[in-house]
Amino acid sequence: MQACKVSLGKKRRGHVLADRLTISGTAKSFAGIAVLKGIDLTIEPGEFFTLLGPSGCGKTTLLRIIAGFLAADSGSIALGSERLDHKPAHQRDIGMVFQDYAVFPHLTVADNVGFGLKLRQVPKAELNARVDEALRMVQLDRLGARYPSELSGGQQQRVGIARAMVIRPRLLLMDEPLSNLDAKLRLELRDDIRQLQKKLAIATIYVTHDQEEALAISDRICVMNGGVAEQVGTPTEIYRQPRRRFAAAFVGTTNFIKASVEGGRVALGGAHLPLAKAADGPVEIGIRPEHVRVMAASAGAAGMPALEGKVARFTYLGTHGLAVVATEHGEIIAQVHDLDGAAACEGATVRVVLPVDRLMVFDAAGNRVEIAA
Amino acid sequence: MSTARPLFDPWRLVQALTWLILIVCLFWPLSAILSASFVDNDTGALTLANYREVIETRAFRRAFVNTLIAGFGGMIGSLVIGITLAFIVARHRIVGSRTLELLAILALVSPPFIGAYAWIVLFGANGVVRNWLGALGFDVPPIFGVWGVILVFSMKFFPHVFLMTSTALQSVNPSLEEAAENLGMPPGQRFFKVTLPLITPAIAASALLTFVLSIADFGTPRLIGRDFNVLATEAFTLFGAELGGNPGVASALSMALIAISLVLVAAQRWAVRRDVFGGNMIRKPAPKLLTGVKNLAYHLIAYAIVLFGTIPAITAVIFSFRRTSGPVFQPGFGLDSYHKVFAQLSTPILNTLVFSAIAVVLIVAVGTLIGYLLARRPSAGTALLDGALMVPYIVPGIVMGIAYITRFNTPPLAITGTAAVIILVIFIRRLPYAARSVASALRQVSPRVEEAAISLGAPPMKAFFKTTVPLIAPGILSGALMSLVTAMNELSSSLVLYVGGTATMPVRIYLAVLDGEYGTASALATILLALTALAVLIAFRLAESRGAGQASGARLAT
Repeated sequence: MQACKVSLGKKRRGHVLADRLTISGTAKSFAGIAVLKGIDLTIEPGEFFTLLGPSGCGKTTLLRIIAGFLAADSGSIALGSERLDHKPAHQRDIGMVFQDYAVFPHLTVADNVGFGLKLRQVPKAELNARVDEALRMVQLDRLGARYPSELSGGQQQRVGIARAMVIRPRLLLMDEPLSNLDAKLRLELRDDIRQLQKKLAIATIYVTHDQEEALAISDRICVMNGGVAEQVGTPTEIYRQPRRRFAAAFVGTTNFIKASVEGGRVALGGAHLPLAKAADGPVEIGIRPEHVRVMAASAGAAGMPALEGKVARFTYLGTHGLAVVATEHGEIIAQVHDLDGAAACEGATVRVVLPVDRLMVFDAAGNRVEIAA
Repeated sequence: MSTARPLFDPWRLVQALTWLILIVCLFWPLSAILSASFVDNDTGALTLANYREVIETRAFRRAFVNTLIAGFGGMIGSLVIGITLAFIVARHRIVGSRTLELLAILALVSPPFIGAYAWIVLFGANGVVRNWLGALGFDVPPIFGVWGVILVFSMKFFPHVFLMTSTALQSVNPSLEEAAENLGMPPGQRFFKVTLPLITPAIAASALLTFVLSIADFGTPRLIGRDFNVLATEAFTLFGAELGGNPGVASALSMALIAISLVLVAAQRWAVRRDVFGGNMIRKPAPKLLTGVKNLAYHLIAYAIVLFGTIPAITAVIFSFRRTSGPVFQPGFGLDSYHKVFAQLSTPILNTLVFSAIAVVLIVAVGTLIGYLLARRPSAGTALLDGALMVPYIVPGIVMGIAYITRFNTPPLAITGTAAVIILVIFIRRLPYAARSVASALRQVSPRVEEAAISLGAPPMKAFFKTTVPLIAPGILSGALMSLVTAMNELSSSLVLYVGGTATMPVRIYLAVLDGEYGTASALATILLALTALAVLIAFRLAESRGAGQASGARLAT
């Protein structure tokens, strides 16, 4: 998946959409505990930008600082040349979609969606037209007169999305909008959000802890951990070229094998891999299960690092299987497509081959170190 | 890199104003008592003589012990009766359980003093019921004395325990009880080992409340206690005496009363220190259908408790319709007492309505804002505010009255003798209840709802009034009606603060009972009771519709 940056120069209702959001040096502590340790990010116009990380990584805090519900301790947030962090939340013109929907239970669906337009004193006729259009966009037309309690969770979140989008905000924030929905609805609404966002070209910051969701929906992803932006990149970059050990571990599955560097080379499974940059001490070598090859014990490894092992467990998943191979370096998970081979046979002695071009070396600080060609 | 400017938050202004109100209406008057207790009445010099007198005087020492007896006695009696009733009504299918609840609330708010009087009429030395029982061969001692006081407190305050614990019982996940039974625990043991520990926070809270109410009540020991004097009666006597009054010692006694309450608050906090049982409400307990003897017994017990509790009110209503000649009851029924009340005592009725209405408007306005602070802006500052709000809760009305009269007798704020002082004292005494109930209603509404309105462009205050207020409005309204009920029935502080023109109905009832004008007292009490019942009924209706609203709110939150 390649990020297609949509730069919209066109004007709509007076304001230019082509403003870039710049977050610089944003830090926040709660009771002495640093939750955000200086975040620098740039979100391009029309971009779908995801903050991905485990709970407690600071992603929601950052989102709430952008929305204006929290004040940062330091740093600045600007849209174009305009400082946002000096404005109160209600003057920022930022739409927000909440995890618990936060639809107004005492208002009808139509009144919910029209809430922001009424505050902007949009004339009645235009207001009704825009509400109808927004409801059509989220497939809730004809439900305008209902109350939220009469809707399902997925429908309530559609109201939340329509309500945030109908004001044509300069920026749209989504705080885990799908996490309260069941799996099937989640996929359906995820695709709808993506399509709507592309159609309206509103720059969107989306918070999630679900890496699969982040990969599927984003133009770019920022992987966060412990109040730090670990890596920013397109889904492809994040998955294929993690720059940090944390990104490799959090997005997708990665096997980590402990190794040590001697004379600028990592020794692994009979091979010595030269590193592009001098690294000392212990390192970890990562490889994704789909790149691990499991062969019969007798097969040759053709100069690639190889480990001897025994199939400890095998899980059958239909199209493929997962073999857990116990080696002297610990257990290694491998994706297996030959479901009749030795790898699918628990207890079989096998050889695990690790292609050099798929190996990722991380130093003790968790930074990626390239293997020299 | 520049530091983000703190955004202006109107709620900070609200917090500052709240502190201002608490300081002017609460801490400043209370400081008058504190300083008076350390000051010599005549010379104005600093002294410990008042406290020495309290400690060295035998009567005061006995009053101190009696206060503890009354407090713990009232508390234990209320707990036993209240928990029994709660267990029966909350967990079993009882015919007319809603009516029982309503009657329990009526018993709770029935006008003070008339209650004590009714008990004398029925169980006094020449009491109607006591005479019947005597004729049947049951020799019951007259109600006077320590046991009478404890009995009256138990029957008056048990509804607090009942209402608080039955709510808690209804929110114990039945799966926990089933798990205990499934692991082999018999139902009887299960109640004590699983259910009871789960509702300890509610029990501890209601225990504290009934204790505080018992030690603050001085009408019951006065009328029923005979020579059973407590700190509240001693302080009132010392302070109210036309001649030989001793404000210094009265203040020292008040401080002792506050100290007892403080110790109890600390004990309650300690008792619930580990209780952080999150209500994981996947299932609501269904009331059990009873059969046979058990069914009959449970119905009998429940109705007997509630009817016993409402006896004072029933007696007052009956006596208000008895024919009178002067203060003396005549055989037969008539409207004499009512004629007299409306001819001579329309001012107290009007006062009661006007004062309580003004107080309730203030309570609701300020209480809602404070409740919001407590629920939505948790910080060290609001935690302190929450603590400060405990103060009116533990300061007995009589003490608050003495504090007000001492502080506001002289400039800068010489308002003693005005209606304002009576309204203010009601306001400050009931404010914590309103703030707490709004806070708990708010905790049912997701704060994200308000943030959504802000993100759509509503300024914070507008967002609050357009989203949160409508959602908690039924809660605020039913809370307001309950405040109105307690405001109308406020006696102890008003009794200290009233002057001829600002007497309220409870004050007049008290004076009428003391003067032996039982017919007048009963008629006034009946009018007050009717007004109270009306307010309670409306509050009940509103609470029910709020229950429905909360259900949908809960659905939203999941």
